[in-house]
Amino acid sequence: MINTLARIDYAASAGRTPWHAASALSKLALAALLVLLAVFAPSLSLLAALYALAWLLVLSSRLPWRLTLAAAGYPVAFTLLFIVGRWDGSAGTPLRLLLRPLTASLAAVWLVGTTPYPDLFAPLSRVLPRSVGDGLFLTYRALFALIGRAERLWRALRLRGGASGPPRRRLMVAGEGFATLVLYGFERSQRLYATMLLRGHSGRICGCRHYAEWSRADLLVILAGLAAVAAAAFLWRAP
Amino acid sequence: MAPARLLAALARDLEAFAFPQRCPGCGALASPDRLLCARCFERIPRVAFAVCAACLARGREPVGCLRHAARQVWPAWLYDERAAALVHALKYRERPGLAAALGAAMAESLPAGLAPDLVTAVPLHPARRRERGYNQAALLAAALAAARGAPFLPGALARTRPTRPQARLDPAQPGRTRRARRWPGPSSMSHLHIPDGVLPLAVWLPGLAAALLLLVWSARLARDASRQQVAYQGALGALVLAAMAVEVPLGPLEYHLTLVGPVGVLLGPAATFQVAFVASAILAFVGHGGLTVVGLNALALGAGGALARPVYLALARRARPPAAMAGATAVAQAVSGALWLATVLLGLGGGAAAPGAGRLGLFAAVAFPLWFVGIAAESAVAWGTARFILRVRPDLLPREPAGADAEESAA
Repeated sequence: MINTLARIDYAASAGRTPWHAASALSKLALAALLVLLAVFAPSLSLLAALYALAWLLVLSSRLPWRLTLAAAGYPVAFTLLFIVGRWDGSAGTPLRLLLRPLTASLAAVWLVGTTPYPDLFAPLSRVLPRSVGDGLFLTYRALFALIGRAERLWRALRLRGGASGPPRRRLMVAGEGFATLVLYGFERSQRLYATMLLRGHSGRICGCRHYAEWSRADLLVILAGLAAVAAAAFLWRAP
Repeated sequence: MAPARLLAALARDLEAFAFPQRCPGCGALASPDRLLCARCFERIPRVAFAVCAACLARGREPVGCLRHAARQVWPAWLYDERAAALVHALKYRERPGLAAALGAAMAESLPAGLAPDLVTAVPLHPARRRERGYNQAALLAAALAAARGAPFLPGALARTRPTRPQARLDPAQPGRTRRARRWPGPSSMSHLHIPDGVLPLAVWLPGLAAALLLLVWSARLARDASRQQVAYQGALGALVLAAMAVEVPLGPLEYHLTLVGPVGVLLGPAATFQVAFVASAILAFVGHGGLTVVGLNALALGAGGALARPVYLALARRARPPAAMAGATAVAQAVSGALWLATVLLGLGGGAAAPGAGRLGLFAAVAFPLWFVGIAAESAVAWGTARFILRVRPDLLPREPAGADAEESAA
């Protein structure tokens, strides 16, 4: 898991395509447009066009396609539940139910894979309440350390027999393991706060201010947005 | 040769006198051939059993495997900080002299009756060999062969192409060099998570609005929280996501925890709801879907968590903290699960193609047992969590009547 996340995060910072150079705000707007169109699109043709556009964005961003497929394919499991529950005998309904979440998650992975997290969260933190905006930054920052630690801890527990025995014992041992992570998180938050103070923390994490710096690469984002709108205009009523 | 050896011994003595080796574990004087002092060396946790490398790579139970007899390995130690210091010194800090001690430790880990016919080593690629100056695997193999009285045959294997250093590969995959080009696999963060586009607008839009209102309200309630408390909140939010990434085997099931109960008890209602929103938002961004239903996901996760602390405080008057934590978690998980099931049923019932009673019955037959399994599993984990915190940092647990004071003291 941490490998997938870390590779997406690395691609966001290390990528050198025009999509990476475009401003976070325009990419956020394009991703939101794709998600909303995918959620509301009544026509299967439009959904297929949006899905293809999302893949075009991903592949032209040079994100590893296997990684993207693995990350953006996650909603399939839960979507199957809805497909089975709303099965009407036709192929259209399951395909619509499948393409909608897949297009939305692909758009989200493209956004995260081309935008470093400080740029991505900066505009969101300006509209969210202060503690929630700060929480986004701090949670994401702590995520890699804690997931890595949790995976190592779990591996050590398995090696020492913590994953064997009756389920109740196994779960209680897992609980004790997670408690060590709670303590680690508490101590980490103390250190982080001290570091923030030393670096001149003024009471709010604002992220970087580059998220709205426009460049020529934003024209590509606008072009992609126009393509999505045109597809919606032409294919909205198509079958 | 005798004068040369004498001079070398003198030089080593002089070096030891001028630059004494200090144990990186405790700071005591240590032998340069072992890096650690004897006490720290002996305290490295030993693994006294065989582990199946194939099962470990697949995330299965690695101990006691009978299917992959050829993939059994006998690890000498658990890779803790002291073991890591030794291995890093051997591999990266030009300390080939440590190989003898490490090889002896490897030999000790093998079963007494196991007599190897031959010991060999995987060679380094010439480029890496030039860079490092020695092949640490060959040194270890030679020490292991000497300790077990087996013949050592260097050069039995040939490396035909350079591979990426193992340290830069996925640590979750032992035998990683061969697997580095394989499918990355689905990200295993898994819990009940509603994706985009499967619920009607009449369900997700009010959910989003309600979540945003609750978010603003919770931020007003928590406006006096210290900045350190917000950092703690971030760490526990990351813990929720980390818990979702860990698979806990429960018979045929692989259960993914949420820890929403313990986090709710530790943080209180307002902060827990914010944590649930942030966790749902991050999951939606990293490909789990649910950007439009982030409100519903946050409501389902956060409503249960928000109840956890009041329930805990009520139960803690009569029960010990572990039992109170388990009870509060059971309530939190029951509420979260009920909300999630209600949302799914609303989603299934909407639209032109409403499911028949048979399919809803099938859904209930699958979902309800899973719901109860979730309640039991999360409660047992919460029990263990509270028991450990009670032993180590009891001040982190909220107390009646000054629950707010405890939160402040924790921050």
